[in-house]
Amino acid sequence: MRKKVFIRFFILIIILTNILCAQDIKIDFSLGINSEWRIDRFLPLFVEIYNEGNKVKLILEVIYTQGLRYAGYCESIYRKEVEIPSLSQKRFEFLLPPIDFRYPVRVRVLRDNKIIKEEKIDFSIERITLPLVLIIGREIPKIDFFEKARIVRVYDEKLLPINYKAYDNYDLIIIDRNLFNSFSNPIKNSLIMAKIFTKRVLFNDEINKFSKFIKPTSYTISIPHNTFLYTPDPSTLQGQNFLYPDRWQILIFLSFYFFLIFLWIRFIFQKRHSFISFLFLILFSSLIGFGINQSFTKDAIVYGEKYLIFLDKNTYVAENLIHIPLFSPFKRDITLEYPPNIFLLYNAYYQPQKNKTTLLVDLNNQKANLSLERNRIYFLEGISYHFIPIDIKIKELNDRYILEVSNNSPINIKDCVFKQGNKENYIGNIPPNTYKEFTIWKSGLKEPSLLNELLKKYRITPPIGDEIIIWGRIDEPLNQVKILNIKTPKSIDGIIIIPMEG
Amino acid sequence: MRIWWFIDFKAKISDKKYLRIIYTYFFIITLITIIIWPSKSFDINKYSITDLFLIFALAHFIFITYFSSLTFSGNLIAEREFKIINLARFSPFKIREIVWGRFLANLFYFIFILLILFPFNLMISFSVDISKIIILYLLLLLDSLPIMGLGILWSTFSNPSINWLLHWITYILFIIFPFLFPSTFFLFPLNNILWLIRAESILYLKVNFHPSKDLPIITIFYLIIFLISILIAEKRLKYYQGVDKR
Repeated sequence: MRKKVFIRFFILIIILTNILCAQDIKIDFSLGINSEWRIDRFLPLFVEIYNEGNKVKLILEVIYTQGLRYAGYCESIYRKEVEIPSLSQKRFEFLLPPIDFRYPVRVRVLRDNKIIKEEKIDFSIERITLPLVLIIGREIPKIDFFEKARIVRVYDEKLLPINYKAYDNYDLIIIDRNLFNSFSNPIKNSLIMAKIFTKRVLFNDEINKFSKFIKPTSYTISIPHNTFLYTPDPSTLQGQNFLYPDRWQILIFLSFYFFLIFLWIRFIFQKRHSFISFLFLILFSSLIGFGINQSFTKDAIVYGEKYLIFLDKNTYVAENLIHIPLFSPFKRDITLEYPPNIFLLYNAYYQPQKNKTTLLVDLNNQKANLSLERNRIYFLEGISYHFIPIDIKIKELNDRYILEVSNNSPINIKDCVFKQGNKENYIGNIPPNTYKEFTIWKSGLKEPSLLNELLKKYRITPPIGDEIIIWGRIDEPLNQVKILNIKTPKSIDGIIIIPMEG
Repeated sequence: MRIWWFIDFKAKISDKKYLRIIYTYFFIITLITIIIWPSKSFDINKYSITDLFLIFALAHFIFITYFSSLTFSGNLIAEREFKIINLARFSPFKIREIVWGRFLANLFYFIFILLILFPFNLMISFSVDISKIIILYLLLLLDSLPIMGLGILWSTFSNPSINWLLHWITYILFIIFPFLFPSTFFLFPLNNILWLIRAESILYLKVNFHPSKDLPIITIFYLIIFLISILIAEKRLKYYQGVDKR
């Protein structure tokens, strides 16, 4: 009797422990390091999970929104499936595009398709507009660039984001070189890339050297949405061919079909098996008609990619801002498969837009789902990084520049232009795997610069100054983005910018 | 009922005058199709693909209702040669058999046309699914019902001018009447097709049609018009038969 009671009691304790432990998951969200972040810049979101119970599988969803509450808005849902071993702590990082201050970021954690935690990350507008300085080191160096600024100090690399673009959020990053040397390679790489692409990262021994280049930026909240361009650019779609039968094929089919019906009426009708032959004719033609219908709708989609590539000539690392317009004449759901070098993809809001559109990004499988309404252009934007080995040497003489270009990449750069200030000179094509020498006469440089005009359309631009720049066009795909189960032509319009730094 | 109408139906299929009319229609729709077939090249300034189902649903409606009014009222030249009054006078069939036989022969001929058009409709209906084509066919047959009934009634008028005039008045009124009296819109055939092709969002038109509620009313309304017309036609034909016998 006592033994039975003991066994029952023991089983009860096990069940209770299981229930209690299973629910013991603590989740913390933090936008930016130590919850400090700046509006209108790319930023990291950290999700920290402490699992004190059994091993769990969770789905993390981060919902980022742009648009207008009553006139349509765009949602991007970043979904990541994660596994947390028992008695462990894990930290996950999401990169977000610049936040629209009217829509707080929402985060959801799901377990067995049930929401176990949901939070809207609210913020105070006054706070997020202040300049933000990140100091990676134990000591705060003396800086007087900002009258009023928020300072975040970190010396544990675990707190730093791995994605280099996340460092875009800071107006200035000052790194203690000794501490930097002790960091792991991924963090070192991302800090170096951030230094290349933002020009706002300094080591503590560089402060005095570069301080004159850093200007305090006071900013206000602006209404335009944080898209790459001020106005959408669907020009890559113009003139693209839909993959469906053209009118001459239709004319042949219809003429042939009605002619067959005519022959049937004149010669077969009222003879034996005329009814069966008629049914056969209708059925066969219906199959062809249905086939044409299907071939029309299946691949009727046009897709374009517009690039703005910024290449660092010293490290050959390039950052690519991608603007993707998409159009389908029919309502359909599409799945995009994108390569891992696209580390951010979002549903961009450009006015005018009706209703809500949702882009579901599966971060584990590098896939994105989007529902397209008929006769409407959608815009996706993303950032990718590339390795483009192009060696450029420049010599300045009294009356000319001599340019030695060695293109070791498989990319064909067309219509290259040498730009200095607001003046430009056309230099020609740089085919892949070639060495070329160009002479640019100073007297040949003419105003205005086309690149300056092109960059005026961009809201988010790479940091280029007035120094000497080589820029050209690329019309081949750098990213293997494909729409699953749909054949579609792709039109590329890319601009590559290579600053020469004097 | 003897199946004399089936011979009439077969005669219609092989008749050259009928053939000419339907082939004129086939030629027109082929021509319209190749003219408005969506361009293969995408143009940003007018980035929409023409909804061919919308256009051809309307075209089929106009053709089928007009053609049914024309044939049922005996105004087609082929029909004039084989008038219902002559049938009533000289054929050995009963009046009811003549009227229903004429109705069935014509009805089957329209089903024959719709069958021929089926592959074409399948091809152009890329904005809708196959069920919409079936609904279109059912609505076309339902909507032609009052016109068919009235057509049979008009065919009992021996004066070709009155006959012609009545056929046109019926057809035009059925198309125009709902626009003159919008509150009665839902009772008229055009309304059903406009509902099917979602014309409300394209033509800024008020379409009042709720199938579950309006369809029984419309069916009853059309059937009443049809049956009353047939009954009056029978009465009139009996008169002709009587006159001749006397």
